[in-house]
Amino acid sequence: MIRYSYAITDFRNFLQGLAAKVDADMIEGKLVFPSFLGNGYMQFIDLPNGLQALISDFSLEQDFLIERSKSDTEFYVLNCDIVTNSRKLYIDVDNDRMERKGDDLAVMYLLSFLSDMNQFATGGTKFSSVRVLISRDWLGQYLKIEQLDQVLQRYLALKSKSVHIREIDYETRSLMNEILNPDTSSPVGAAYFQNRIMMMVENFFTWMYDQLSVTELQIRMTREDIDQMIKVEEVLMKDISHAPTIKELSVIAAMSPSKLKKQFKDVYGMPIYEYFQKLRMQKAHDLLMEGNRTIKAVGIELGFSNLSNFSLAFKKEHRVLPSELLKMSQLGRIDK
Amino acid sequence: MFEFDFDHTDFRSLLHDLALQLGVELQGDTLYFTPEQGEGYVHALNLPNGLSILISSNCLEFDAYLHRRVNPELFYILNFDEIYIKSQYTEIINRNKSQYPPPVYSGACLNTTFFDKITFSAKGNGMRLIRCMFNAAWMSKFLGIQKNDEVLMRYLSLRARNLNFEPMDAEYRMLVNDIFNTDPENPLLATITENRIMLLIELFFTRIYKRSGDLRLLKFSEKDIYRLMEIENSLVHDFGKPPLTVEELADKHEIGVSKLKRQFKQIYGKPVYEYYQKYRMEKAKHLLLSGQFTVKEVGYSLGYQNLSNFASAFKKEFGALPSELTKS
Repeated sequence: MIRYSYAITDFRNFLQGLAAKVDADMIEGKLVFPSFLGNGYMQFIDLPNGLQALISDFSLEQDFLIERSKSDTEFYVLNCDIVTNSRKLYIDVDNDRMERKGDDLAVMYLLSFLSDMNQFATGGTKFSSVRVLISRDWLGQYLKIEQLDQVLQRYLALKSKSVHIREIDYETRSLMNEILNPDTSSPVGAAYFQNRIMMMVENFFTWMYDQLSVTELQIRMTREDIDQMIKVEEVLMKDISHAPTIKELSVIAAMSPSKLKKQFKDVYGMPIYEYFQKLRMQKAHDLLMEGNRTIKAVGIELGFSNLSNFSLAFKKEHRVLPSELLKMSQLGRIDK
Repeated sequence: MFEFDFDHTDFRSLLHDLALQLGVELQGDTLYFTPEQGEGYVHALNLPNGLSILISSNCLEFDAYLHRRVNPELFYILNFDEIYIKSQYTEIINRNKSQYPPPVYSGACLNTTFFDKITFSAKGNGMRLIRCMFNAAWMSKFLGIQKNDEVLMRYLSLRARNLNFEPMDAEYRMLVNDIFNTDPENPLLATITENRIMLLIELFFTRIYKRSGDLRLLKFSEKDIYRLMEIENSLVHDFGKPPLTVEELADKHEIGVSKLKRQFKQIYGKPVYEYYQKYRMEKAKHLLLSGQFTVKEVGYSLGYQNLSNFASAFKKEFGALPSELTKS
């Protein structure tokens, strides 16, 4: 396995570090992978409007782990990744993991530099991606700033939970295609990449605004309020087998239980316990699919003393009983 | 007749002076004409990337005579104009005169502040204009094109004789429509406008470079070009109705069938029906991606009685079914 750890400042820096790690040269912003790492390249482009893009197109020869430690400058990376042929991959954002096994993936998501992040993929994985580095100032200039704080914070509060990941749509896929296979005869070389990348950025933020319906947030939450809810959420999810009481949480948030309940719902879109239960059942699903635990063991691990309660809660979330899920997965009818 | 002389190198200061001259108070960066003056507005803005932009949609009740004087500071002005001409619309560039005949002129062209330009527009003309102004440094940074670039120089030298404009086809028009139709309250307004403008600029330069080796276009008479603009406009005007046949088009516009076919292909790059169908499908894609319509609604609005015909035509063009675009 190749393991590359770094502290990001920008894509140029990231790629230089990787080139040094695998003992290869970066030429005109492009790192062609040495054969022991894989087949393909990563390339960064400085766009005229001040954004930076990292374009990747490669398949891995061996397992590859990238570890990024958080930084205190507020930068964001928009990721548009198409992954195929992977046995396993995961992305950790702080302590949160999104993991996929054996299925193809085409997703867009936004990450902040303010979090630690790890990315792992098994050898053989084929990876096409376009990533865009965006500063907070830049976002402020292009998106209406008074709404930006709310939407962005709320989005990041959702971290790697499936809600915030966007499947790559037809339009983005065509744009990625044009970026990965550029029209070399274009007379406006610099604008060619920028225009397509900007359309991807527009696409994503349009979706994000729609999803996190700005109007609904006009209730004027401050960034501090949202940060407070992020803290509450962390405490809530610290132990998946046991939820704290509302009273305990309201002490931590330093607000009344009724205000807490309302704000939590505004940020996370559902009441506190419903949210807890939803994530608990997602965890149950993941544990069962790992395949080395019994239903009983999973139920106990998640704090259920009564297994039929567990089964019912599971069915409510996933529409099938745990036992049915296992049967289906043995028959190979499940992709995820 | 209203007369206005100017030599500004950014549209906001130009708009400011225009408002003074018209005796109208600006609202922010927008000038709204009074009911006596006509309908519409002129909006100026500076995009975050440094472009100066003017956007206007208007139909005026008075004759206007506009004179852009030579400015020794070199700026480029890219025009995307759709003008519905009622009686008279004339441009004089560097003393070379073009009088555009009714009913429509829709073209893109690049001018510079090095030659002067007079525009005379008679009352009652309706127009949608998008103008971008930039200097050589901007062009070099954002487009990678230098001011002494050979294709650009050749283009501009013809332009100084008031020749050489690029008819706007449906691909341009879709971007133009987006700019005029985006909700001003949209939080992404600046991004959407800038992206469309940049795509228009890319399209324009891609086209003139592609055409730079093709001298056949120079053999077209002005009359031919205006006639083709009219034909194109009527062809893609309404996809809900079945299009005229080539014979009907030729008859209506008083041109021979084979000449129509040949010239249309030279200017718009495709045979008449391929062009019609391509932009019908582009329109379908656009409507589907907006997320506001079902596949059924889009198909019917584009004149398909049979949705599976629509789906297979769509798939032929884009390699995906209409339903795949509505999911996201």
